[in-house]
Amino acid sequence: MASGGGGSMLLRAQAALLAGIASLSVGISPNAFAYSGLTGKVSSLLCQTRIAAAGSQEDYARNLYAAADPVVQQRCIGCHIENGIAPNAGAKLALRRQTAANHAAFNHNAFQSLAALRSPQHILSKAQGASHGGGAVLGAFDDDYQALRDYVNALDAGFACNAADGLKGQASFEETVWKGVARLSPAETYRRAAIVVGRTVPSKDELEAVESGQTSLDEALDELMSGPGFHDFLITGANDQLLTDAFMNGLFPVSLHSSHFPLVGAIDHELFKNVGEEAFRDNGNWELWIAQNYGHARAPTELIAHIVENDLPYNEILTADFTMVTPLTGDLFNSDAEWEEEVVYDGTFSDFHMEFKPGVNRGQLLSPRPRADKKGEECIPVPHGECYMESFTGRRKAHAGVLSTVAFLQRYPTTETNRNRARARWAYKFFLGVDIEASAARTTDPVALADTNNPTMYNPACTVCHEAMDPVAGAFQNYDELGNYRADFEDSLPWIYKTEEGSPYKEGDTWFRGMRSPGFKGVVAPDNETSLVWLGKQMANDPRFAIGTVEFWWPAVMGSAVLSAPEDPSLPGYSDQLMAFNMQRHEMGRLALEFSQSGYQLKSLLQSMVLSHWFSASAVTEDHPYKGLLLAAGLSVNRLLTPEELEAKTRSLLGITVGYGVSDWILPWQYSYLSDYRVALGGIDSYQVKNRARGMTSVAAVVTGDHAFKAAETIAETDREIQDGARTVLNGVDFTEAPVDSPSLRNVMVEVYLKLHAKSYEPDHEAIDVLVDLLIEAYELPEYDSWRYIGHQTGQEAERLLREASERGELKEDDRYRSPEEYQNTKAWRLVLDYMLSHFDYVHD
Amino acid sequence: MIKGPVMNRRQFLTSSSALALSIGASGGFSQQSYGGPYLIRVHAGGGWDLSLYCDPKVNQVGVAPITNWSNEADIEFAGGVHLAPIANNIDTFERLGPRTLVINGVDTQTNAHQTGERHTWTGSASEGRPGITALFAAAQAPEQPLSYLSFGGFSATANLIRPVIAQWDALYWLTQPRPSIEHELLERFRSRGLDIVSDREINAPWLARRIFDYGRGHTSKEALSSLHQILPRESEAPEAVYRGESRLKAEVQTSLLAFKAGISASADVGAGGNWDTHATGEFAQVDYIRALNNGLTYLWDLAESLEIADQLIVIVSSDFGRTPYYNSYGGKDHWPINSYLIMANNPIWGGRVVGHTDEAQNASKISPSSLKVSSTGSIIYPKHVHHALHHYLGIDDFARSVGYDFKNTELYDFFNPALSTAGPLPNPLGSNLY
Repeated sequence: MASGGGGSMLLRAQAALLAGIASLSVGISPNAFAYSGLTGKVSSLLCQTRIAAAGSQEDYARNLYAAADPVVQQRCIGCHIENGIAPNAGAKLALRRQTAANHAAFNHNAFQSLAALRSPQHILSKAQGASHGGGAVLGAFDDDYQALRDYVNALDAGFACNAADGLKGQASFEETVWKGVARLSPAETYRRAAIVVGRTVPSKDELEAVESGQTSLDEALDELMSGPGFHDFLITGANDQLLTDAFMNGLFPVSLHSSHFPLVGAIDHELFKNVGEEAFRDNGNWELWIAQNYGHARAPTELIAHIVENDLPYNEILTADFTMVTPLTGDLFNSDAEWEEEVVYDGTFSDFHMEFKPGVNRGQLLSPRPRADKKGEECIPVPHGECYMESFTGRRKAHAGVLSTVAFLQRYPTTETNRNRARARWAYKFFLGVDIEASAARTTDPVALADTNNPTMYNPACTVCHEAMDPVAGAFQNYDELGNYRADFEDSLPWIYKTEEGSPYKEGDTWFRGMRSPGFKGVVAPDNETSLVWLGKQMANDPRFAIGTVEFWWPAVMGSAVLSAPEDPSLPGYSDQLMAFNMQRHEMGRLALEFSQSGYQLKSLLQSMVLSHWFSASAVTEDHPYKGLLLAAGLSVNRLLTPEELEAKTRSLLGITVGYGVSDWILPWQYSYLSDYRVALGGIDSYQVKNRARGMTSVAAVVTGDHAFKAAETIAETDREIQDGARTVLNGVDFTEAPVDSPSLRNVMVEVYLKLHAKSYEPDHEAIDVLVDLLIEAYELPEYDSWRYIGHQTGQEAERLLREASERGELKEDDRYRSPEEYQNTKAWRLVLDYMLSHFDYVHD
Repeated sequence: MIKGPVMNRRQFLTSSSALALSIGASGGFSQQSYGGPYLIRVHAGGGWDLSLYCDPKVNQVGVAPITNWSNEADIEFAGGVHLAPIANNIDTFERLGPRTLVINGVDTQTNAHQTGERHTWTGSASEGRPGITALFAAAQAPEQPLSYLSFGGFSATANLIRPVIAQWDALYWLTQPRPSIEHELLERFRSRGLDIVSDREINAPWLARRIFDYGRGHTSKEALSSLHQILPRESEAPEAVYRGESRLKAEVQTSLLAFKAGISASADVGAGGNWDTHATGEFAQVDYIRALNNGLTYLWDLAESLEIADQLIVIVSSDFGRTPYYNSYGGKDHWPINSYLIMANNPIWGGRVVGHTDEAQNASKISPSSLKVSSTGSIIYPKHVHHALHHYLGIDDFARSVGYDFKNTELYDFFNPALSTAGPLPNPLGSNLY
């Protein structure tokens, strides 16, 4: 229960919180940002030159409008046309199409009037979604946005070029903000990156090498990007977006049927032959299906990992002409992957069945086969309802990286009315960073929704989304809801569409008439058969792919969601949030540029992200003018670790995984305390819970507390049995004597902090006082507190540590006398470790 | 670390700040349990077909059919609510109708799911506002360990409070009592340690919230055991619905028990199923409505047995509605006009329907004072519902203090038992029940 100390603790935390909050109220005006911020460099000497060349400020603005006109025509006119949806709903901006006479002058005057009435920033905020009936129509880093921004900023003489803009060496807004911000040292940055990206904690020597410059930070970061820890980071980070692990967490497993994949039946038949009817009835083929599901579900994330780990250009995630297969899915796909073991279907599964290799899919029937129920024909029934073909030679089908994986297609299935639009929406979001639903103009007029004259083609309220979305949906034309390629062997169009009375369907169609043709950005896909492959290449080469990739990986590295543009200027903190949003977009743009210049090397991007202020900013000056902005930005240092990161940290520092075990439920699944309770600690299951929770709660405190307790118990009890100097943590501890405050004890505590928190304290620091006091008080407690022995046990891990120490000859003699003092010390040190491992500085990093 | 003038943190404790209120007057964990009121939000994710539920519509001559059921039946009236006579609507509302205020004809102004969900539950289509349950929890009991309980869906908080995601199969174990002298010792030392962290990080303002959350998480976790004492090891079984299952009963069960335990003020639960029925015809919606009604009946049964019904407010809604006509696949697409059910234990304002849509499910303008259809009134938007709810729930002062009130918004007198809006038009194809 809360004690006096607890109240004090919370009082201090609350005070610190309020200190941050207070800074919100002393922020700067949005207008100040609009000029000195992102526009600071844009409207500089070049701008002045243009004004001079144009003759006057107004002429300059008119000239500039010419550059903005395409944006206005494409992004604004749909709703803001004279007498259109927006003006009729009360919007002050009414515009003319470029086909109208004098449209440029008319539109320029309209913008100028609105800018004078409100402000240029008002127009830009609207475009970004603030109090805008049409929502966000331009992203802050879009080229379109920049064109509009250049134009509207030039409308106001106060905003257009002044003398200061042209000064050489003028700092950008970003430079001004970061100027007052301290950053982690290279070694500290390396350590954070190692936990996040490498799922490890560097050794003392490794950290010293970076700190001294013996190893450059770049080299050290590069070293992190290999091995199982990095692989886990890639799989987890990619799944946080794609959510394809849902198939293993409650979503119906990935399903392929022998009607299209004849080897489903053939493999089931093989299993039947090997295990016999009795075992087969005992869920044999169901277990096989679940084991196969693992290979399908992980294929998209494993493909991403494969491309990154092999230093292939990252945009190959959309163009790779292969997928990733396990021995089990490789057989289903009739893949060309070669394995070191023979794949035997005897109902048992091992780690081998969880390995991944690149492979192709040539397992699908691409033309009809004989019916299963016709006697004497090729398709031979298998007991549970599938059938198999004695002879089958699959034809290879071109892949489109992640887009053509069965897991992606089944996770984002099409329906008869959705018509691949979900796939298009998520492809845009995941790979180009474009959230069509969020950025589309909102329908403010119910009449538009009641429009039954093919509104997605003709109604401006609908075309604003569908113009971009529907051609991409069309590019998925060959895949049905289960991801079968041309399910009817000619096409994947819904049967009802092809057969209903009055249907526009014609023989040979592969896509809906009345919808936009399959394509991308106004270009029609050249070939219906391979439109998805073509789409993958188009997206991979789209300029937005780089920014989409930055957005994709930002949460995994920074530990926070990408900021959304604030939309309501009347809400608290709006200006700080808008500035933070723009700062983040600016940083993402910079990262995207570097990423594309690197030849789309994701490791290079991850390295740039780690070296960013956003990853390593650690403190600000007290009088920093943009403290509110930095608060709204939610910087990364000392964020709550994810369950995966916390587990990796403990494994790396202590050599144990709390509650570790391997389940023999079909595949050898590894589990642990934190994997079991990951959702309570903010993790996801990809199915019911899709977004990570980033803050500590009461339930998360229980999880981190139990994790700390079990880890502390394991280490205290094993270190007692290991010779001094070879222990995991408690080197220098004398377990046989009651603890007293002494220089040697304080030196031990200094080392404990250094190892577990990476904090270097002087022996007389108050943090050391805390540990010493805790140890001495804990020593006096009763030896055993049974209430705490709950849940997962770590016996296996303790046994392993002791066995390994024994093999190294580092154990004390096993049959020695263990005094009561040893047990009291074990308990006392367990509590010290418990404190350290549940401390803010351990569960945050 | 950059050195600057040492900030006197304590001076902020006496200063007035909007967000200071959000972290509670006590600043930390209150040893007192919370005794209500409680708020539950039930979300039908994907867009519900109100013509099958509380805004029933019948087919009109010469117009595309709006409901299949109205070919053979007419609108019915149960518990003061007009209903489509399908699923278990009539039985359910004969009992729950007197507890229910139906607000029809609420224009969400969108056909996009995310925007619809946000508009319905925050009162604004724009990003930035907290959901009603988050705001309520922050106002009423921010210090409680499960103050705002979520089961994984939409939960905008505007940083006023942290939602606790209730891991389905773990809460029983995580709330297990740990009455240990070791824990008491650790918490005491933890507070000392956190003081050191607070001092050290005074120049990292973005850490203040994290430090605060960490402290509150630890100091409040002990109270979780009060839930464990009444939480069964096995939750209510899911109910099968079309292509899935509804966990509504189990989520309601956990939420109400957390209320009863005195450690929670609000919860977001989900009406099971994917209500986005573009292609699955009417039967899927009927199946989901049946399970929703079963869940609501269960909710009130359990609330009564736990003796918290008098403290409970329930709000039911969805992203938006569905079109007043069928598409070629027998399903219906998105339609911005929505409804809310607001429920309490036999309130004086129950058994009423306010707001109105015409026969084609277009929202009618409603007078804020008389609640009658009026050409001088306004279309009801979610902000009107939320504005009235803030007032009714007694959180309007708090909402104002944290900047999330609804300024310049008409206050509709929805909770005035003397006012209601006209009922639906009779079925031109069948008998006139009214």
